[in-house]
Amino acid sequence: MPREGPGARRVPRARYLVAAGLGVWVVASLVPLAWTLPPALRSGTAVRRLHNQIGTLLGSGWLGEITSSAATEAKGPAAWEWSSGPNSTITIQPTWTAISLELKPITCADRKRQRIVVSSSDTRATQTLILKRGFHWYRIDLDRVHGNELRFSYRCVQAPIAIDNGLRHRQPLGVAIAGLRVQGGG
Amino acid sequence: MIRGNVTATTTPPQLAPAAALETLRASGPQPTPVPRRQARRVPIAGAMMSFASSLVFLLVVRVLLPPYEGLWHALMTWDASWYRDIAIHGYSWHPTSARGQNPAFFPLYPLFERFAHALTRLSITGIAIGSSILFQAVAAGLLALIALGEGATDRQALAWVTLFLVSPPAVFDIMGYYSALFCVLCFLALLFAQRRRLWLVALAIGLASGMNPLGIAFAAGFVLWSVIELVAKRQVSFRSTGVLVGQAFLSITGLFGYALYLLVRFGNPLVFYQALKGWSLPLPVSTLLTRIVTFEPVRSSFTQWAAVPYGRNTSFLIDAVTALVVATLVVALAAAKGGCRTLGLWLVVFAFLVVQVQSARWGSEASATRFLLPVSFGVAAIAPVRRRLTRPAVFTVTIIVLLAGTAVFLQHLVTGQWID
Repeated sequence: MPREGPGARRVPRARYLVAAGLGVWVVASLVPLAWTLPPALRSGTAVRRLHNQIGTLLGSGWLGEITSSAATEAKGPAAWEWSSGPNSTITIQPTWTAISLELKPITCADRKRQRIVVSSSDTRATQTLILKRGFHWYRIDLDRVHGNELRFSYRCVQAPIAIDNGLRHRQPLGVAIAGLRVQGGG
Repeated sequence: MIRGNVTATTTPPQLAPAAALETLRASGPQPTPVPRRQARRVPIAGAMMSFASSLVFLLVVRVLLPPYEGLWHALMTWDASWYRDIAIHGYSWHPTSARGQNPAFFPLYPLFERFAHALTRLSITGIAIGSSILFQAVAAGLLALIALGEGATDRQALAWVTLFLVSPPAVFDIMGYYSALFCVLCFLALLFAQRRRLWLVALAIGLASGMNPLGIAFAAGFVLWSVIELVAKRQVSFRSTGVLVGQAFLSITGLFGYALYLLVRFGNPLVFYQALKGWSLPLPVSTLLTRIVTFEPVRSSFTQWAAVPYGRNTSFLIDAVTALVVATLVVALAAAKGGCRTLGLWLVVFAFLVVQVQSARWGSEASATRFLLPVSFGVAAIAPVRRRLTRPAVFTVTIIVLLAGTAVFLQHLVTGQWID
């Protein structure tokens, strides 16, 4: 029975205490967002930038979703997209003289370096890129290329593979692309 | 507590005030008797609104879909195609396969599809989509009845149904999903509980337990609620305990029947659980509990969306927001007078736990919108929550928020992006 009268001490009902406890629990569990969201938002900016850069240029043989690293303290790019399958394509413009790509290879099963043979549909001219570990920029000259598509053939791909902090991919991955720069008009 | 107007014909015999209070305490929260004409008119209006909203959704999907893509094909994607496959070919199980396998999908809905196909000779696709639309109309009518039973006016009841019909999970109710039928069973359970028809509550939940793991959560919630009611009324006896045990068994008959079938067919009654490995690997119990207790799936969904605001991350974000809304509802129900003695609280608590277990395995909040939001509409039809959300200003804001989520779901559906 609740006490009555002016001197009575008000005791919170049990249900209010339970509800308050639940509320505090939910709010407290969300507190870590205060320090995980800002770096994630910075990664989001990098993802949107990369999406604008490569979104319309990547053809077939790419995963179709951009991966990001929320750990911005780590050096290197904050967003990248993986290739999917033994071949990938990139759309190019006739006025371009060269493109530079920021690429990172997977570690091949035989521990040898990843190699990409770059070709186009209308010419036999090929270039070969031998990739170093981690992200690096690689330049591809387009002087002798006349088509509108570059085809990348990978020496090795791996599936399933656990990368990017243990994220498992079922698709065969070869390289990750984190940037694309164009030389020439257009 | 008695709410709303009680007509002369339904007024109980006059009791002395103290005795009347004791009677009310003994019987727990009481439903408001609904006049018969109102009980027909409002649910029928709700069902008609459901047909209209389904038609609008179908038109929107047809208009937004690329011309080369068929409407029926788009509406039978994701889980719908699994259910159709089970309805046509039955279950199969390969213990060594690491892929997702169909015993993970409970049998009641594909059984319904198969029987309806045998009866009507309509295609499974036609039955799946047509029945979804029909069951959503039934669910809308039942939701209106629940709201009326909680003392809502006609306008409030229909406003509540409107919110239900424009909410994101309604998108699944034009697809070949079991969601609408599950809503019917959930709302039937709540309506029967409101009318103290406990064997019928157990039956509705028993059927739900053969349709989705959420039905098992409902069974757990129902049993706990029954025990609380029994102890609160101080009516513990051999007879009442026997009745409770009988109702508890009835509330898991769907799951029990499925497990029995799996035992006979594949020699293992837990195949339905093992088949989940194809979608998400089991975690150590300590990791699972830590993730649930710290709401890690919710936080992860926010940070993942902030980092990559595309595709399924958007779906996970909506799920995370839904999970927080449902957590708020649980807190509100716990704080409400007599809230712990409502079946709704325990249904939503256990459903929330099941969704969190699944989300902890995924790593992101998943399925909260599809599973928890419809249940929440049934549970939150009680006066304090519903009355606030159906005030004009709040109603306008709520409907805009819900429509924004629904628009994202529809956009994902027509562009082939996964939603859950």
